[in-house]
Amino acid sequence: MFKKRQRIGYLVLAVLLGHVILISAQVNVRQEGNLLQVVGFSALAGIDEIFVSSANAVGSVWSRYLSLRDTEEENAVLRESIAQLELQLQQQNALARQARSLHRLLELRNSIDLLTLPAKVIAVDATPWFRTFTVNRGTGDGVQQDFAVIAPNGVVGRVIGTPGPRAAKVQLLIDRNAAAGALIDRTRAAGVVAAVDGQSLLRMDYVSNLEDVRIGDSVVTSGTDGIYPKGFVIGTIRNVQRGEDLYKTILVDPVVDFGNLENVLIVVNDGRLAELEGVE
Amino acid sequence: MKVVALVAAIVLSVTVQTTAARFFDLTFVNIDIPLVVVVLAALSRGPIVGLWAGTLAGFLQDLMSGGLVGVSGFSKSLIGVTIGFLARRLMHTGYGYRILFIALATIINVVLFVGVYRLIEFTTPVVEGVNVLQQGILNVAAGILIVVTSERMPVLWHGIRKRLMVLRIQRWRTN
Repeated sequence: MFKKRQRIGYLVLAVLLGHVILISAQVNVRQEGNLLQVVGFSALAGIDEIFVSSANAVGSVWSRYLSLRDTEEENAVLRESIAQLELQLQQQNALARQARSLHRLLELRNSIDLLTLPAKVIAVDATPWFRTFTVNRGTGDGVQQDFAVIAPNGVVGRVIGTPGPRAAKVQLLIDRNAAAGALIDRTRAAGVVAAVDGQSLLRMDYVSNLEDVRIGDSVVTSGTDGIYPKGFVIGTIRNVQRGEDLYKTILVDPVVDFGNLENVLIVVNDGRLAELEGVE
Repeated sequence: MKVVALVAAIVLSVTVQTTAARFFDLTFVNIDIPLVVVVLAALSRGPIVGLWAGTLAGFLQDLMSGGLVGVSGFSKSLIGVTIGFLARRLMHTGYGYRILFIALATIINVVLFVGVYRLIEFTTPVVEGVNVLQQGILNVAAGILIVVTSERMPVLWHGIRKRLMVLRIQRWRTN
């Protein structure tokens, strides 16, 4: 009994020590992902993609076939046909929405002078404490760490960690570890946009109290961070107050509805971005 | 077979955790389904299973998250082994007992998770009491759903098979 308990104790210690070593290794060299992480992440992203497709397929089978199985009486048949028509309408609407979203994405892709890659959002962060998405593009498509991710209406975030062959993690602008160089479009006042803790809001830091900033002003990327291309919309100013120190307290509403994102564009930064922005 | 089922349950829980929000057009859902699976596994199978279940669930969760790999594994394996030991000592069954452990595990998990981030001075996630309360309620609800489903599944499966059999006989008679 004592020996068994001792053995469990050693095992617990060994496992916990393993975790501590794993965490310590990343704290020092966070930029480099190891093989286990890449393989594990890719495998799970694959499972997520299959799961989402299967869930959609099962949902479709259920609504089209199984739910109609028990319709024997005429009244029920009529009700079912109405339901089917409504379902078709919903499907058409969903298809139209998807087509519109893709059309907007295509329009954006054609209108900007950047090399972009369309991607689909397949999963969200596995813990409630970070704001990341997984997209279905990875190193196999040329995606690398720190590539910017945009949507038709504005900036979404950037690729973090080492992407898998067919999947990459995207840190949203509303994640507390995210930030972007920004400008107020009307006055060209520069600052840094970062997340407000625990909310889907952004704050703009380092804008001088002397600058003219108004509610409703548009905030765009400045391009100085070398990640986000210049001039893309981040959001609009919700609230502005004179700060106690040198800088204003500014709250920004992001233009992108992060909960509704299905398709995004990954800006393939092959050095041209730095050239365009004049940034090394 | 039991190991395979547990691994499958953990992988499924992480998959549901990462994809469920997409079906509701949300950026995240304040729930921790893998933690619920770890607690239920530890309660029914003891500390060693709790330890490994926690390690696997946490590791997979960290892989699909923006944080450091190992933090969730650390907290969940500690929770798994502790609950496994307590379950052996207390020898209780029933919903109230499971609910209590899931609620406790939610609080301890958040404390350990945030605590590790504080210790390593990495950007610590901001967690408020209301977030923990919300997650506790959702975790308990998920736990009840998982327990009820797993208990009723054999009966449900038997019922479906019986009904299919009756339908087949009816079709054979009409033909």
